[in-house]
Amino acid sequence: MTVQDIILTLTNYWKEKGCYVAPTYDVEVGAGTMSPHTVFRVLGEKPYRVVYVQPSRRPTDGRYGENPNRVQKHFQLQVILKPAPEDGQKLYIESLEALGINLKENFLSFEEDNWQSPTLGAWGVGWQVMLNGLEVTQFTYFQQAGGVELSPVSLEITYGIERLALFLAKKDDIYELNWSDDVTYNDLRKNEEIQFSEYNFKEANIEHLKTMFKMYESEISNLIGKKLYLPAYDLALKLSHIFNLLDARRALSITQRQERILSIRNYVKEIARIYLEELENG
Amino acid sequence: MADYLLEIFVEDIPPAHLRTGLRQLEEKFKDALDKNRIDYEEVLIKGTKKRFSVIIKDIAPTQKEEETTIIGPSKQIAFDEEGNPTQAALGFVKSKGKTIDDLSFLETPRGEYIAIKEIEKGKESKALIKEFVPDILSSLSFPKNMKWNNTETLFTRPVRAIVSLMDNETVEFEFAGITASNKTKGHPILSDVTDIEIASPDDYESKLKENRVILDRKERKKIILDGIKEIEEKYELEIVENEELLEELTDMVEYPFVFSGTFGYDYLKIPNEIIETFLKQEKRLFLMKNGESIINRFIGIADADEEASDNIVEGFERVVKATLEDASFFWNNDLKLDFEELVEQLKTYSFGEKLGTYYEKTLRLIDLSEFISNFVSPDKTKAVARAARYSKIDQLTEMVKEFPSLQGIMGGLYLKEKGESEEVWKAVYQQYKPVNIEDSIPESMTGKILSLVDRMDTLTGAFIVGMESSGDKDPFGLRRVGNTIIKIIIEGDIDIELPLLISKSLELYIVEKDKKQKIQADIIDFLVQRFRHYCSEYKGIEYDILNAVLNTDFINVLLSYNKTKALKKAKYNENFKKLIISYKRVKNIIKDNKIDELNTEMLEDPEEKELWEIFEAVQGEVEQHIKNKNYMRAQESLIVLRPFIDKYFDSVLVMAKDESIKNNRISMLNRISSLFEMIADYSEIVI
Repeated sequence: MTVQDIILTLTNYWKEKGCYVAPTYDVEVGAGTMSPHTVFRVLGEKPYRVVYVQPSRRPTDGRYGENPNRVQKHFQLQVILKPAPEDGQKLYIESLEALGINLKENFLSFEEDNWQSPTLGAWGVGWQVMLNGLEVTQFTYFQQAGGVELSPVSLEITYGIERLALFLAKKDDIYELNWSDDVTYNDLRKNEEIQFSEYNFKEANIEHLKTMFKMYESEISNLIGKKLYLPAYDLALKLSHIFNLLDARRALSITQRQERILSIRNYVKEIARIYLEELENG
Repeated sequence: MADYLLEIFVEDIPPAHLRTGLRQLEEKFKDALDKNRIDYEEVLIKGTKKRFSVIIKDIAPTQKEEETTIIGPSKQIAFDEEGNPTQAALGFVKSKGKTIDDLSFLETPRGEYIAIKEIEKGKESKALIKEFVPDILSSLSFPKNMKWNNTETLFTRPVRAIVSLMDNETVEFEFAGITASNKTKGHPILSDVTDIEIASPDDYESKLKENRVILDRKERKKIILDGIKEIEEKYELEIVENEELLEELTDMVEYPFVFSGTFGYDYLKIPNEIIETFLKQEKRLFLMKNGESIINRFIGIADADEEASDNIVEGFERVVKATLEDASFFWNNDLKLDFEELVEQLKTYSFGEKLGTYYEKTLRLIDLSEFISNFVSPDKTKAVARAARYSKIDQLTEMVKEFPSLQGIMGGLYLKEKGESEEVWKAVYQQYKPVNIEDSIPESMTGKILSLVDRMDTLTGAFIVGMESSGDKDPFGLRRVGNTIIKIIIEGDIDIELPLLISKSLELYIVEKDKKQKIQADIIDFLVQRFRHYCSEYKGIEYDILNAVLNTDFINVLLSYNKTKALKKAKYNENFKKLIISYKRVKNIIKDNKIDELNTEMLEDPEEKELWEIFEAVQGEVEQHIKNKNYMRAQESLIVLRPFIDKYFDSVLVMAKDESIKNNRISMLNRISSLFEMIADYSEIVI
């Protein structure tokens, strides 16, 4: 099964379960959870089901295309089911079967792995789902987001697409995966990994990044003042990405890191507050 | 008699939650049964990663009758002189719906009264279970709770089914929006049956087994151990034991299958500790060894059928390779870091709010370790200061950021790799030992000193900013810090006066002068409690012995401990026992009278002269033994005094009418008592 088949099969599977297929969000994020498709929509009471593919960027994970299973950009397939259904675990197991996995001939396990993002004021209780020791999914019942207790609780299922593809292809090198029958992951991504590793670790201009960080901060402050929480949130995502780049450049001392994390967290908190206010006021 | 079965079927339960949940269920069920006066043979607690199960054997169908006695008027009022019931008695029985024949008599301190016994019929056990089981379930507490549906119930993980059966009858109740029934589920993958109907509690375990769930934990563990043994024999290797991991895995599978695989020989270049940490923490795998050396083979426990074996081994071999690839990346990258630069970088790494940076802590550790080393082991001063200097740099490595449990170990391994002496790298490697009161202390004196100063500095810092523990709250784990300080000093044979150590440690922080004394006293008080804890809980020393020793002083932990050992011998030795009894007579007479104006000229009775002579004869010897810290010998020398003390009390009246004679006699006894109390207050010992 090619990578694109996995994406199509899972997307279709969840579409059949009533999810709307959202287009990929077009701002850099570290995880599918950070997309507005999740962060905002798990708040409030309105039922919601979505499936979408989200590229996730983690600059420090870059390995110049040399490591067979670590990349600075990978793909997640994110599902949100709100409210969390009673048979969520069963639906998930069936989604793996839809990929042609015979679970009786493999070892599937749910290992405790609670998730929290202080930056998003969010936490959830859940598991990392392992197939023969390979983590292929995060399965989480969202408990809080934007510092607010969620009611109803949403179920979040995040598939690691490359991991699933490696599992299905019985390969241990990500670059050997077939994206389609005639395009490999190597063709599509190797050059990108090499170039971005160069950028993340060597070329990203530290002074510029620090300046950009300040500029975005000031933009966000202004937007928050105007209650324009959607663009404010986009820029908070930018801020987070710049922070990750600074981290990759090892440009921040521990105290400087802490300060910046706190700054992002405060903005996000403020943004969530405005969103909730608007939600309440209808 | 019937059996009752309760099963709470839950989405995958973390092992620690399963353990605490089952413990609480057992306790709470027994409590509820007792409180509701329901007889039963036993409460069995079982469970897997997906179910909490309670089986009550031979439960009574109804609760026990309860007899209540209602007291009426006194017999005198209730019956007239002829013995006929009065209006008072008739009114009383009538009000209770009874007749005079139902009356009984009750003897009370105020005389005899009439009474009526009422027997309350027992309710059906089923009805009571319906009431108390939901209460028990909502009262369970877990390390972390969650909500999952609109009932807003809090539980460890989502509850998906409940079985509640009294023999073959469902005892219905509702919890978390689920109505109890007689249906559960088998193994989520290996069983094809959607809903398994349980006919009765007797039928339960075998039905689960048919559906590939082994409910009995012992049985699961045996399958695992047998599987491990088979692999050990096949490859003629031994597993690297890890009891904690084994216990955890036993609770993570319903249908265990043991497998084994290999990894590239080249990865063995990475230090064993790192390989083990990565495979254990990331993948929950055991390593194998041949003699003492780690071999490139691992063992894993799956929740699967044997037919999955090939895929599982192949899959795990791939992920192990990837994991070790990561380990190797971290190890090699961190090795490139410059150590002096890392020391510099500690300046940006905060040790704690108001406590400065790790760099400042490092400087304090260097000073404090030199200070102690000069006292207890001057030849180690250089090594220990060097170890202290590099002790915290591994906090900045990627490896420790990824696996905090490798702190210390990592620093040690790096220093070793860089050619540092064993004396130094091992001290850094073992600096967090002992992790608790059961763990062993570092091997070398250098290691012991480093471990001690690290804790002392943490404790002092905590007291300066007021983080001390109180009541049963100990949010910063300071008690463990204190316990291990005591342990290192005693087991590491570190002979240093506590006030000296604490005041030096305080001096290294910036503290206002007028606060120092109070903080020092608080730390000593805290450590006295930790000393008591260590001695009583860990060394089995009785409280009276601890009181006897601590009544005199607590300056040198090691010496106080040695005294308790000497006293323990004395307490159970016939001769010493007699001496202790004699000494108690001395203490009883002098009480708190501290008068000490002895005039030996005034001693007149032969018995008191004799006692004084003997005392003077042994005093020097006793003092010499104490000076040599040999409390056993000192005690033995004191024994000579025993018959003379007894004789003295038999014939001399201490409380003489003449005030000056009395004071003189008390003064003499005070002198004698002081010599005893150079060791301990023996009068505290309970014989």
